[in-house]
Amino acid sequence: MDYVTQIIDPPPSRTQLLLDGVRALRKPKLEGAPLLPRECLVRSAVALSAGAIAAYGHACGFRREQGVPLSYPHVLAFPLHLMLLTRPSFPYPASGMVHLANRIHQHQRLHEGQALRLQVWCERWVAHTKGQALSIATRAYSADALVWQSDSLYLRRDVKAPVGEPWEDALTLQEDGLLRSQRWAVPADLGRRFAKVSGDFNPIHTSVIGARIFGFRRAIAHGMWTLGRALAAQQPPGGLEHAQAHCDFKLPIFLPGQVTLWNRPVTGPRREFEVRNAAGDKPHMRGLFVWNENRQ
Amino acid sequence: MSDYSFNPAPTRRVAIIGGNRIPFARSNSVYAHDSNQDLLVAALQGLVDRYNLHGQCLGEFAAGAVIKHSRDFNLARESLLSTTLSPQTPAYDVQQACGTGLEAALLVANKIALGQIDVGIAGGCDTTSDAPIGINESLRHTLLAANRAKGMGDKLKALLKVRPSMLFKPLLPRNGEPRTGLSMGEHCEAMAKRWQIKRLAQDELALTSHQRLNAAYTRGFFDDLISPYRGLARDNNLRADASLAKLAGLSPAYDRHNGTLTAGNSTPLTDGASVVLLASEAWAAEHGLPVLAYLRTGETAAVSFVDGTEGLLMAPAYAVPRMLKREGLSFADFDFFEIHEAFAAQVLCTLKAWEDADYCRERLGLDAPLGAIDRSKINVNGGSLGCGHPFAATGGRQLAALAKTIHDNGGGRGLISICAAGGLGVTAIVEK
Repeated sequence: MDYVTQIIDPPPSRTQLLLDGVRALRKPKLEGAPLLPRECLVRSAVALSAGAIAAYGHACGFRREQGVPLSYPHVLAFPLHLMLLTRPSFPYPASGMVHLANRIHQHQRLHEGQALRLQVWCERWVAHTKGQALSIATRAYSADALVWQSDSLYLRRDVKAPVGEPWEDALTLQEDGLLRSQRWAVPADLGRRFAKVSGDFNPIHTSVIGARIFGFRRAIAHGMWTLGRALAAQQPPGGLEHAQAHCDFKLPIFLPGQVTLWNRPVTGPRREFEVRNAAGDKPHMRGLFVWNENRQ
Repeated sequence: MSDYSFNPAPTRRVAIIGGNRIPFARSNSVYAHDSNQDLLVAALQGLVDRYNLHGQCLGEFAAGAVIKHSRDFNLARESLLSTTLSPQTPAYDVQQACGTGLEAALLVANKIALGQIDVGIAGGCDTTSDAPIGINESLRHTLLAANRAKGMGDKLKALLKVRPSMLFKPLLPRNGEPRTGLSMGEHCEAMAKRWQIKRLAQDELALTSHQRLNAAYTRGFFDDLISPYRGLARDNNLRADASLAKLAGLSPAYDRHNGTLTAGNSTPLTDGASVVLLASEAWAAEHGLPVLAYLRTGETAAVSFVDGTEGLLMAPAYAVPRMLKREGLSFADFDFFEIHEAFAAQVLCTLKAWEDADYCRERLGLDAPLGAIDRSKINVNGGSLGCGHPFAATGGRQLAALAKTIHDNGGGRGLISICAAGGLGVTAIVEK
């Protein structure tokens, strides 16, 4: 499929994204198979700003010695994800798209001050058991080299006969032997705090009323916060070179509350983990974090 | 410039002359209105009175507290100035979580051994009743920003960011590991599960601790180790009537469904202070003071607990074999073991680890397990489960009690082991 490259400059404002989001609340009923949006959105030079990284890191619990957080470039690309999902050409209401999973690969160490060229496009439809899923590709280049990439899976629930290849990429892990290793308090204002550093002001995260409108009894934590927190908790000191973070989002985390991190005693630079509720019997996220692996 | 500043390096035996502590009190009980400094002054003045050190200028006083107010930046020195010791005695603060008291003693002892000083006092104190409560972090940042701002206008602008909610959400001290968010009890619960420590074994150890502490009080063992304070003459955590039935009735404290740790087999938050008088043999002889025992050496270890490689409180398991190897000793060479009982389960995990051949080989790098320790040699005059555990005061309590035990025994050798937050462990050998 041919994509139409659109340079996005300046980046969309928060107001613009919110307006687009409101406009995209309703979509005409879909006739036939959904069409994949054909835009490839590009930001030619987004700086990894030290201040923004510090604010993001603080919200997720990253320490300065851990370098640029593996999950951070997602924040820079997220407005472009929203632009795609709120386009008139996108067949479903943006608000109903649930972030299901993310696959991040970093190919080179990232540095503060480095400029990244970001490309974001809707790559393919995925037939999910729960509805129609969509994979959005994000690629980050530095000096023409691919340094970081992410594939995000979003789901429109309850679509009968979804198109695309079936999704067979779900993370499996041996749940036996997972031990609770950490507990995190998730304060009531976590959604607002993470919204400020991530630019994701979805009302289901930032206010109880907003959450109620969309069917949640309370505000819920950003999935990408949960991923960031889990990476921060498990990454040793020192920046990452090659690294992968895979996560599947499960049940939402209601705010405020407490969640626990479950993993197993270390056997090398690889962590299989789950973020669960305080009692440890319900999963919020399943993840895999691998770093500095030999890429042979 | 000299080649080596310690030249000639003297190594002298470090004599433990004696110790003093105030009775330990459960948090928010008798010492609820005492500060760390109040407690430390009481213990230190008691020692000065007991050994008639009034007006004397000593080599140094090293002490600390784990939970400290920022105003207590010079706690040891400020405490010293409130006693009748010469104000010309230097002092400094030490802080190594629950290892503070013993680490302070090792620091003072090393200076004595090297000939830098002849006599010193080591100690520690803690209160969780008079705990520091910080102002809200957002409020603190706002106030600091206002402080940095130049000119009244900018200062006021910065202060406009103060929100009423900031005033009602103070920063409270936490009894948890900063890097895991889990309480120490939860960490120990995980250790107990890993080592399959039974509830009954924990309760039995707790009962023994109370019984032996009570027996020690009854025969007057603590008469020259404790100065009464605020009407308290004995540790008020001591339950002379403790029984297995009563302990068995307590519900699990850290894991309601599958837990084995209870309020009975875990130490409570405690207020208290302890100090120990250390000196060279020459100083002791000069002052006509008998030597209880000698502090031979110490060893500190740390474990990697954040990534789950090792249990939080397992560091002494590593420190002890290292120290024994260095000194050419084995468990058979010891008559007494003074093991800090943060939790009965943590003591039992450590004992089990030392008996486990696989663990000793794989984790501790030993050809053969260290072996079992005769329980009748462990904490013969009671332990932390009986008397309580004012974090930094535990090392001084153990050191003085062990020295006296050895002295009363007419000689012998004892081992001290203390586990601490942050995966730390401090151990030492005392002998005569």
